[in-house]
Amino acid sequence: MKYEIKNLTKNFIINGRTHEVIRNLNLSGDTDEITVILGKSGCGKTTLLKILCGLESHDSGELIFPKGKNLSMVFQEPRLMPWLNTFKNITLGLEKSDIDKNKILSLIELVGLKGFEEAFPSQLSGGMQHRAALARALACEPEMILMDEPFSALDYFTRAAMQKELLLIHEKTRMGGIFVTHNIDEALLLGDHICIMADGKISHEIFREPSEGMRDLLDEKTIALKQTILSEFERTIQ
Amino acid sequence: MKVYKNILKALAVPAAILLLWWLICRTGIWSSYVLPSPGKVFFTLVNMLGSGELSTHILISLRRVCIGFSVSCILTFILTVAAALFPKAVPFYSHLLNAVRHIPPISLIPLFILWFGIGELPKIIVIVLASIFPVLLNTESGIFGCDEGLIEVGKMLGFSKSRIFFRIMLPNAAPGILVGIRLGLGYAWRAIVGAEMIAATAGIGYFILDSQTLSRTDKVIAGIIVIGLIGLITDRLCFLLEKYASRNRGGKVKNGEV
Repeated sequence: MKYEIKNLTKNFIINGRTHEVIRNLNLSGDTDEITVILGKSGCGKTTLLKILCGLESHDSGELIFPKGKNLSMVFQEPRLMPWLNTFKNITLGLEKSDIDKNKILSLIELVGLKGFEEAFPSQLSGGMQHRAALARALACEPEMILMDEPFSALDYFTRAAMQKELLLIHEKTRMGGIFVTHNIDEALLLGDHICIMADGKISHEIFREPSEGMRDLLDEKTIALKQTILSEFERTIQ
Repeated sequence: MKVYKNILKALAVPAAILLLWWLICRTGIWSSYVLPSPGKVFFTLVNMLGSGELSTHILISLRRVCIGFSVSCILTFILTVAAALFPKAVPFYSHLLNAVRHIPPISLIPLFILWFGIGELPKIIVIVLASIFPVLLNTESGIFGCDEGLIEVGKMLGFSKSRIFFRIMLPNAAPGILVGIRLGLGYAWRAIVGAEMIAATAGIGYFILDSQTLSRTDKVIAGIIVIGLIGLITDRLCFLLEKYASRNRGGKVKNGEV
């Protein structure tokens, strides 16, 4: 499946002044690949995801994008319901009759929370809470997942483990998504399609061949790519 | 062991007061009509409990509180659901409610007697007026103070407005609602005793006033002690419920001191 965003524009009016957050943004890709949107803080990444997810309206433009049950989002914070245990948090979006217990249990195993089905969010570590949030998004079996810097609050080691898990899940389910980050290494590790966002639009796009397993950040090709990205950022600053 | 220690701590001050009371009675500063001895009050209490004299009055008062407080909770529920689903309706009644909130319900009793007689209805209305506001305000602040992030999760999952209310906002507010219930019950209990002193033929408030006209100070004190004890018991029950509702939220409720 293809998705397409055409001439998307979004303005915010703050204290009577109009701020153009997204201006004529165009983006298209496949729903089964991982598209990474890379940009500085405040470049409109989160707003874009919120528009795609329907949490925010847009002023103009056209969206050909999965909707409703076909789309799920993982936020920057885990946002688990503190009164529900892991199992119930993960199945929050499902109708009671639709809950396939075995499926959910294997999903819990996939994100590495086996044995914590009954635990409440306050009993989980930060990394575990993020994994539960990821599982909640996966449980709805969407076509695509939107991820808004989901690992930015994690330490280096937990983040690396989560990135590995995400790639593993992608490999197993072929469920793609849009991953927003300000971390260049993370973008290089995860992205099949890397988009650099600046000033409310996509300023540069990089298409890569699908990788077999984990990508090596110290690979010559990847280092060259990192240099391209960095010089692209330099250019947008000027 | 800790439980026993806490019970001992809780009993220390009342025991000291009891001792002081007993000592004052022994010195005979005041006549036993003004201040009967603790022993006399205790035996009166036991006698009245045995004869069922006190329990009838307690049950009548409790029944009134139960009915009035249930009405308060139902009204709160209706008002909060309405405010959540139709926020545009709020300005129509919020100022009126705020004005009513500041009128002491006891001051309305003369009017209520005029309008509704001295039956059960005016007492129930007094309880509703006394107890609805702590419940309503705490429920509202719990519901509408809900983290926007959690509501966004509901929207992301495709929940309808009412589903977001019942699956996210309401359970999220549960500990706050229970604080309101705890406060409201206390207010209801205080209001009923006051109302019964003005216009009633039964109930614990009436019993106290009646005992005073019969010059039975021991019965007055026994009645007051019973009111306090019942208040303490209901408060503890509410506290346990509150603790249960926030059991998984990282220790928001740690002890009884709220």
